[in-house]
Amino acid sequence: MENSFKYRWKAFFKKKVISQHPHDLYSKHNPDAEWNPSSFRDFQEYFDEHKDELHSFCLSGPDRIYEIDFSKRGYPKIVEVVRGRNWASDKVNIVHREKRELTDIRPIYYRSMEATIEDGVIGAPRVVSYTIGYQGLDKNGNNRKKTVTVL
Amino acid sequence: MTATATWYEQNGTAAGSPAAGTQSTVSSIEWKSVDDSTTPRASAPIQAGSNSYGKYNYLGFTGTFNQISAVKFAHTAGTLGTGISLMGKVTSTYATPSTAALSSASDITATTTIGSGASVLLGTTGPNDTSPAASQTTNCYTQYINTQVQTTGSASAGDTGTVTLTIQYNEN
Repeated sequence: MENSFKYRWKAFFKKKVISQHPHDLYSKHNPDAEWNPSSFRDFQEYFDEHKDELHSFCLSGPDRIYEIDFSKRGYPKIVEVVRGRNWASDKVNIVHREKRELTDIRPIYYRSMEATIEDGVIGAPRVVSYTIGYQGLDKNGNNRKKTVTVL
Repeated sequence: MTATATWYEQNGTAAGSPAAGTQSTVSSIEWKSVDDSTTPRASAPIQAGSNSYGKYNYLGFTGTFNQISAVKFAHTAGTLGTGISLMGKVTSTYATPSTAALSSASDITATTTIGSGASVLLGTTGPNDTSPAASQTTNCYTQYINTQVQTTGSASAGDTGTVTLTIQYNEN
């Protein structure tokens, strides 16, 4: 199996770290099934039971990391870490800091896939971008969503 | 691993409830003067002033994924040529393909970005699922992407120009 992901996610909870499997396999993967959930189902299942224990959700690539920092309760922020030659030379940028207090906050993660049909010939799907972020409800009950998309 | 996306085509007489044609797995999609998924277009050319048979194509998602969502379809590049229009619609309803002008279809001859493409819903029972949704968390199918080439008498003889159709979706 080919590891085709340029960026992979990792979730840091108070007592547990859940990482995307290199081949995106669910912990209860059944090789005989036509369909299996991906690693993200492991995250969702643990998150649903331990919502208040999520510290951060990260998307890690070859030269940068995007982190949704949930450590300040109700006020998530999105941070970009551009890797330097060593950790001391990493550059940290705050992409977005939530100013309104949110409740019922959930991380967002997905890959955008694209397939083309050129002159009638069907091509294989490929990853065109990765998106990470969060959504939650403000005090008026409005859904607020912030995401970062990387190629 | 990403989700496994398989292209299908249905052909032939509509049968059953909800109606469906005969399903084939396809590696190409060609508009032509016969209703099948195997005859090369060069062997079944469309006469100027006529239409191709309508095509009923869709994607099936299996393999490994948590959720598929936000499916879009568009004609994103290329032109077929003078006097040739590309028509398309997204539907959950299969009808026996014919060369009659596709009803309720949009003219998608002009290119657009995939972001401005047509939204396509997903069903768990097939492309003709009567309750399709914007996302699914198990193996599923898109609605039918129903296309047809329509020509006028001014269409040039020979092969058409080359077009690129694009489908985009999110998965996690």
